Amino acid sequence: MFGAGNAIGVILGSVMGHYFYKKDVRIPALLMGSSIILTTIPMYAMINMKYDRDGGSIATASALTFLAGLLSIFPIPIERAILTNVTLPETRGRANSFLSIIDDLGKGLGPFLLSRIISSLGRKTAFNLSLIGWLVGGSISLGMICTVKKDEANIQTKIRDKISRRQAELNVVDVEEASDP
Amino acid sequence: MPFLIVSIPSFFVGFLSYFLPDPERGSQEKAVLEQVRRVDDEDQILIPPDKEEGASLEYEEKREVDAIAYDAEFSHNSNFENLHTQNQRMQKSSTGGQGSDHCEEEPYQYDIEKPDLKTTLAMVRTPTMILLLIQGAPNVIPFGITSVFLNDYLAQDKGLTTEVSNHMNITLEFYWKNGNSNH
Repeated sequence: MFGAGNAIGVILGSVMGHYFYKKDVRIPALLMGSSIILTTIPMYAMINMKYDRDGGSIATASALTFLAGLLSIFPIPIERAILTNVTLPETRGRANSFLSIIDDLGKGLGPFLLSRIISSLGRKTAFNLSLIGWLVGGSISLGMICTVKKDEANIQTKIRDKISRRQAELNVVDVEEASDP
Repeated sequence: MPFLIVSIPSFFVGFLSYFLPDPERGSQEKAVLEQVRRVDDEDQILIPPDKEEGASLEYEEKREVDAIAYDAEFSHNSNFENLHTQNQRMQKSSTGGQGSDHCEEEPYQYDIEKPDLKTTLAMVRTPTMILLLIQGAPNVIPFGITSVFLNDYLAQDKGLTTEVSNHMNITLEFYWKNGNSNH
C-alpha cells in the first residue's frame, strides 16, 4: 500500500508539475511551496498525538505518515525541474551540485543543532521546532512565484543570443573564405 | 551481513549506467526547438521538386506564396539567422566544401560552452536560483532530524513497540529515499 502510494506520489507530482507548467510556469512553484508548508500538518499531528497500543491509534498514525510522505515528496521533482529551467544547459550540472551541497549541509547540520535542543528541551519540542524549517523553506519557495517567469524568459533570451552570435561568427568565416583567393 | 547483501545490486545497476547514451544537451530548449522548426519550415519552402522533372510553373507559384507566408511568420524575430544556411556551411566546412545543399545536412545542435567562473556567478545570481538554494537548507532540516530521531522518539517517548516505530520511520524513509536520494 505504501509502495503504491509512493509511486503514485512521485508520478502525480511529476505529471501535475508538467501539466501546470504548460498552463503557467509559476504554478509549479506554488505547488512546491504550498505542499512543503502543508506537510507540517500531518507531521505535527503525528508527533503530538497520543498513542494507545490499540490498532486504531497506529492506523491513524500510519495514515498521517502516508499523507506526510505524499505531500513531502511532491516538491522534489518540481524543485529540480525549476532549477533546470532557470539555468543554461552548460551550467545545470553545477547548479544541481550546489543544491545537493546545500541539501546535505542542512541534513547534517540539522540533527547536530537539534541534538542540543533535545538534551535541554526534550525530543517533542525539538521535533516541533524542526517543523519550522518546512514553514520557512515553503515560504521561500513560494517567493519563486515572483521570479521564475522572468528568469526562464531570460534563459531563453540568452540561448537565442548565443545562437545569433554563433551565426555571426560563421558569417565572418564566410566573408574571410570568400575574400581568400 | 544483510546490509552488505542489499547493496550488491546497486553495484551492477551503477555499472550499467556507463552504457547509457548521454542525452543531447540543450536540444529540448524552447529557443532551440523554435530554430529547428524554423529550419524545417524553410526546408519545405526551399526544396525544389526533383531536378529531372524540372521546375514547373505551379511549383514556382507555390514557392512564392510559401515564401511570403514564411516571411510574415518569422520577420518579427530578426535575431534569428538562417540556421538552414548555417548547417549547410558547417556541412561544407566538414566535407571540404563538397556538402550538398539539402540531403547531407546535420541536425542543429546546441553549442555547449565550457562553464567558467563568469557563467557560474551569473547562474548563482539568478533570483530563482538564490531562492532555490536558500530554501534547500531549512527544508532538509526536518528530513534529517526525523531520519535520525523519530524512531527513538516513537519507541521511548510515545511508548510504541520497536516494530511499529520502525514501521513508521521506514514508511517516511521509503518516501524520501525513493523521491530523492538527497533527502
